[in-house]
Formats: sequence, structure tokens, C-alpha cells
Amino acid sequence: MVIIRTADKEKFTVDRDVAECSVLLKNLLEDVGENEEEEIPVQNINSSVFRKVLEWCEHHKNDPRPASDDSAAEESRRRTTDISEWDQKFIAVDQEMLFEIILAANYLDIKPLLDVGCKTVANMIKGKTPEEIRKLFNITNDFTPEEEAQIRRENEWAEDR
Amino acid sequence: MCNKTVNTFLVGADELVLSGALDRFRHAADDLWRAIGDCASTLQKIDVEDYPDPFKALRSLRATVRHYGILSDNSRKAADEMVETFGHLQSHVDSSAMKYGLNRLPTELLSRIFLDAAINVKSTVALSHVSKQFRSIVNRSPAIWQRFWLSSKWDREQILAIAERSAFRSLKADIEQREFARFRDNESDSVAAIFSLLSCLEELSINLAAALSESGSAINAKIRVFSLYGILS
Repeated sequence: MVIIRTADKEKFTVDRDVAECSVLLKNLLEDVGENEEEEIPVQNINSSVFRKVLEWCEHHKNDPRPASDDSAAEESRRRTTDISEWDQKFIAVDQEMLFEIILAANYLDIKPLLDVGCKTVANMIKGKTPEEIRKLFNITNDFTPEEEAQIRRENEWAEDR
Repeated sequence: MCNKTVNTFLVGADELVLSGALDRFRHAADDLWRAIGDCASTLQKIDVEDYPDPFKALRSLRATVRHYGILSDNSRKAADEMVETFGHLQSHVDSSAMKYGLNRLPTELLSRIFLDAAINVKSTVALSHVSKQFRSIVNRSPAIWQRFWLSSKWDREQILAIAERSAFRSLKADIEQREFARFRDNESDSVAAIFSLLSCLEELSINLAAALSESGSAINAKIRVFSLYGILS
């Protein structure tokens, strides 16, 4: 077991197998060695998000770990747009939590979880118009009317593809 | 919308109500409505009762119009106040979106998401129309532009636009079955346009899998591939 301390000072006692889903934690644990008393700090993640990440790691602890140097395998994994049923349920959270999970997966270096998060956002975007995307993510249209007209003219030819 | 964003929005909406701008606007609009009613009844009088004394009716009309002008000024002030308050509200929502929304993801993650979301040129272009930040990321991510469904309607200039955005690396053009006939029957210059850029590209592949998967037998497929080579040669 290892002890992990989140940004809001909450401590989690976690199975080493589960923690090692994260490449960052795996490396930190290698540095710490077998000293189970030492706390591992994760500076950028709050307890509510970390709890959620741990839930994912617990479920996927026995999955084969992606090799860090196999770029072809990574590309192929990323190109698969399917998200497993369990992952779909896991990631059915509000947008704020979704982005927190993506940032946490990126920081902790958990590539498969990062894939799930990014693909989920991508699926939300697919097939939507710019206005629908703005509404969905609360994004301000910061183009001037002239810029907008210019961009539309530039890309008129792409409308049917 | 995420919870915190909704909360900030509600705080802003409360601010709008508490500042009284909404009430003032409503009163000004009510007054304006009454003034329009007065105007209408004065005009009716000109037609019916006061025709023998039109000056009296015109004086009354002028007074009503002046009144209308004052009310109009008041409602404009109220509207300005509302615009200002809505501005505050918008900045609340914007800062909330920056803090908790999609915008907070770093560029490399947004670029990766866009790569998954951009299923064709149309959706890539849609992404680039969302905001300046999105446009900048889409146009600086060559990988997003490298794979596309080739339209038989495109000319060299349009294919050049894609090649430029893909930084002239590898282009992967897929051909749909419904488009294939136009290429086969030599009705489109798109393939020739792509090949005219060959010297600038690091890699080019034209994928017929989608076109052939719906086209029937393998022999038929071979004939179609052969036809395409015919076009290219």
C-alpha cells in the first residue's frame, strides 16, 4: 500500500498496483522504494477528482500497460473511437469534472484514461455547428463580424465535405 | 453547463434583478406602450371628432410625441443599464468558462481532441469558426488536415489550401463510393489536382476502401482501381 496526498491535503491509502496505472506515480514510487510510510504528494489534483481517478484505476488495474515508446500502438489506440460501456458510465459526469479528469490523467500520465476523456469531448463536438459548440461549452464568439465574414468566404468550398 | 458556471450565471442574474435595471426597463416599456396608445387615440380624434379643429389635435399630438421622446430616452437609459449589467454577467460567465470550462485545457490536449472530433473537412472548418483560440489551434495542427474525404468538386486551389494547412506532410485522401463514379468517368479534376502537388508532399495516399466496400465483387473492385489508374496516367 502507498499513501498519496492530494492538493487539498486529503490522504489516500492505495494499492501499489492501482497507483502504478499512473506513470508519474510509478516513477515516484520507484524513487521512494519500499518505504510505505512516505507520502506521495500530487500537487495539482483535488481529492474529489483523485477519488474519481482512483475509481478508474481500480477497475483497470489489470489491463496491460501501454508501452511508452510504442508510438504505433498509441496511435492505433487513439484512433479507435469506441469507449467501453464501463468507461462511458464512468465518464458520464458534468463538464467541470470531465475536464478535471482529463487534466488529472494528463498530469498523472495515465494515457488510456486521457484517451477516454479526450474521445468523450470529441464525441460531444462531432457533427455540431460552431454555434452549437459555443453553446455546449459556453464559449464566447470573439470574432468581429468582418473576421467572421472573411473566414466564411475562405471556407465556403468546404461546406459540402 | 457545469455546476460552477451555472452558479456564477445565477449570481449574475441575481445582480441584474437586484440592481433594479429589469424593473426600470419594464416600467419604461409600460410607459412607452401607454404613450403609443395615446398617440393612436389622438390620431383617431383627428379622423373623427376634431377634423373641424385640426390644430388642437396636432398640438395634442405634438405633446404626446414629446412625451414619447422623454419616455424613449428613459427606456434607452434603462436599456443601457441592462447592457452594462449583461456585460458584467458575460464577464462572470467568461471568467467561469476560463476557470472551469473547455478553454482551460492546454493547447496540446485541445489539439488532440480536435483531431478526434474532426471527422471531415467540414467539421474541421466548423471547429475553426468557433473562436479565435479554436481557429489558431486548428490551423496550427497539421495532423487535423492530413486525412480527408476527397470531393470531386474541389479544384487545385482548394486542395492546395488543405495541403498548406497540413504543412505539406502526408495527405490521406479517402474516396466515397458516391463520389467514385465521377472520378472514374473523368468528370473531376480533384485527383489530378492532388497529383499536381506531389512534388511538394512528403507522402500521399488515396484510399479506395470505402468506395470499394460498397461496390460489389472483387473483380468489380479491380476494374474500378484500374479505371482510377487510367485517370491518373
